Amino acid sequence: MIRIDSHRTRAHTRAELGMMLSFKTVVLLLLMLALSALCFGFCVSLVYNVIRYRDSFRYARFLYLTAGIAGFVTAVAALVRFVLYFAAVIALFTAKPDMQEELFFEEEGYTARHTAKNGVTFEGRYHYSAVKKVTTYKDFIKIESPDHSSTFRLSDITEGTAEELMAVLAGKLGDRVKHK
Amino acid sequence: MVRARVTYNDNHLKALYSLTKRPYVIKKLIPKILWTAVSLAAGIFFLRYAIILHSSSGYIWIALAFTFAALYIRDIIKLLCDDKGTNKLPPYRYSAEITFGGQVFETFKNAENFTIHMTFPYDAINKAVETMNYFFIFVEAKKAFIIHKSELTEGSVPELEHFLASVFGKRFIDKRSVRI
Repeated sequence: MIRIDSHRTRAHTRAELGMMLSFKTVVLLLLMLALSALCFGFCVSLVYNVIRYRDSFRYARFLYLTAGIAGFVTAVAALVRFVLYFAAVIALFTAKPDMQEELFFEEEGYTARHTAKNGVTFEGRYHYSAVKKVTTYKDFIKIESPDHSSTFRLSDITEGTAEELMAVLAGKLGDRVKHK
Repeated sequence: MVRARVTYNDNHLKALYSLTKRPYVIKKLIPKILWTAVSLAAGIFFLRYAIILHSSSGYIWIALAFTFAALYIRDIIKLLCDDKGTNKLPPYRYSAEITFGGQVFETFKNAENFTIHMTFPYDAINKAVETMNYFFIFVEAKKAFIIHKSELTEGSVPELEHFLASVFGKRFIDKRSVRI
């Protein structure tokens, strides 16, 4: 049996973010910001046109105004999404994580147990076939299973060794173990 | 003590979507309606000019504008006809044993290759909602346990109503008149 007593810190959050961030995610975030800026520009130019051609054909003015409002709504939606993602990242880093988690890796599967700050308790027993993915990043390991994911350091192992754990994971999970 | 055994299926998802549908649909609908109006107005605008100027060079823009309008209209119809929203059942089948009573709200999830036991202090639960056929226990703002009234295995519906009203107070929302 391999036992892990993990105390979650900001380093774990940083490691999770490092595992999650990829070129695709960064490009997607930048595209969201660019779309927002483009729609704001579009909106301003259309409203300017409505004012500039106030004496002209009323149909064109209707078109410009509707397009201006639609551009504004889309811009705000994209900006709100970007701000929410950004705020979630900042909240993750400023919050002081205070969670103690125990993990036991056995022959057939593993058990995870923890209690959150608000008193919610969790105990999950998973067979290795239920594990979705394991990601290793520097000396961190993240194990993702249905309804639960744990991130811990190899130095958090209190019974057994890191080599034993890696051998168990590689043997039981095969290509579901990814190294980043 | 009231217990329920729930095996989630599409009806549970439809019930949850019906309960939370309105703000979601309104949020999605506003930009879509605006862009439909813009595309239609642009199409008619280009068409008028093509007729007035007897020009055949602008037909590509007319076709493009009406294609966009048709695509947006298709999206609006899909959004209004949808009965599950983005809710999806997990890829694994499981049943949940839910227990009300005592100091905490207790759940056991049993699947083929994992079991999860969770307890939630009643203070940590967001809200509980009762509709004509279902109880919704929102453990987080967007995460709920959905129980059909016929799925109670111990205790009765009035017993559970009384218990939820006494434990949650104002956080228990009575929507029995809603046909969900």
